[in-house]
Amino acid sequence: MEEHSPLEQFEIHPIVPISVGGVDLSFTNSALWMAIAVVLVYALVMLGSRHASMVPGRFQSLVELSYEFIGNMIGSTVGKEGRRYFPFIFTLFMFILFGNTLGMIPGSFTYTSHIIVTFTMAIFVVTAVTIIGIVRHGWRFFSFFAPSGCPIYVMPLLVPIEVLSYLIRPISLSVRLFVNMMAGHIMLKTFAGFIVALGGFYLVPAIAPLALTVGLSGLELAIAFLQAYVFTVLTCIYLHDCIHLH
Amino acid sequence: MARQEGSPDFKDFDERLRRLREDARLPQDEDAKEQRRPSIGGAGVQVGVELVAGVIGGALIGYWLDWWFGTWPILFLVFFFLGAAAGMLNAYRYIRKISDVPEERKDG
Repeated sequence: MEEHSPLEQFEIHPIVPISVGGVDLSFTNSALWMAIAVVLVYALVMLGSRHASMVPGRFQSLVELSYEFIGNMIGSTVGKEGRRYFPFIFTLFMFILFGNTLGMIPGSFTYTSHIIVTFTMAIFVVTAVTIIGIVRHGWRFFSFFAPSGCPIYVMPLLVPIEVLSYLIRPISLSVRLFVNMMAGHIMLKTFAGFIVALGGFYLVPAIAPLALTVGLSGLELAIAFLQAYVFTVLTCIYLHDCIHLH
Repeated sequence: MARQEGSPDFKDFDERLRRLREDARLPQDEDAKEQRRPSIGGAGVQVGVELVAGVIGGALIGYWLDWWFGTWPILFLVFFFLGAAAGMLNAYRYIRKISDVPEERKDG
């Protein structure tokens, strides 16, 4: 008999075991679903922009909608200077969105429900944004940590707090995405488990958890989109902060 | 996205599309502004994440610095509280952002 723990879905299994010099570099189910997401995003964009016509078809509409969605987001949060970072923001959004939504397929694996995946993305974003800020402003970038108009004697306390509040950005950014995805999936599986448990006795009481699972699935799809949006918007806001410095 | 070739009336197509979009945008933008403010529950989760991330981040950095300098537990304690303060600062800024209070410092 199989294990039916709600946490079982987060287990990582190696599919192709690879070991390089004692370091485990196996191709896992997590890596598999990331690869699937990348292939699907690529296929979608390619299909959608290949036979571009004046009246867009299904795929072209999807691609144009997502293009404009991200374009408007960058325009309204970062401003004109943000246009050149469009490819990165678009890739980030599509990768998270596909990770979240692919995870809604029963039996699949949600790579965004792992803190190490979201933290890697978050630390990459914050590092990149910091480098962009330093390149654009040089040493003046560090004035970011010294709020203007403060008495000099509170600086020794205020500057460390500002630096820390900057350093914990990748933590809050990654924890937000990972907690939302993991909690949602545990909840779904728990309620789905109730259907089986109650269906063993009578059919009628199993209807309640079934209805709840259907409702939760819809909610989870909304959260999958919303969290991809939140991650991307926060990236844009950090980018704005570093380009405009206060 | 669309190719620039073929149809002769494509020249004013962009212009017409832009005009149509701008007309359609007026009510949409109002909606978008309303929607930007998250629900109370959602805002609560965000603030919670900020506060917890502050404490965890501060504690981790302090622990790491202590391990580096061998001064356990002084820096851990200092950074624990600094991190908590930084988390509160982030939470405060988040709340300011989602409520319509004007930004505190536009200068600098």
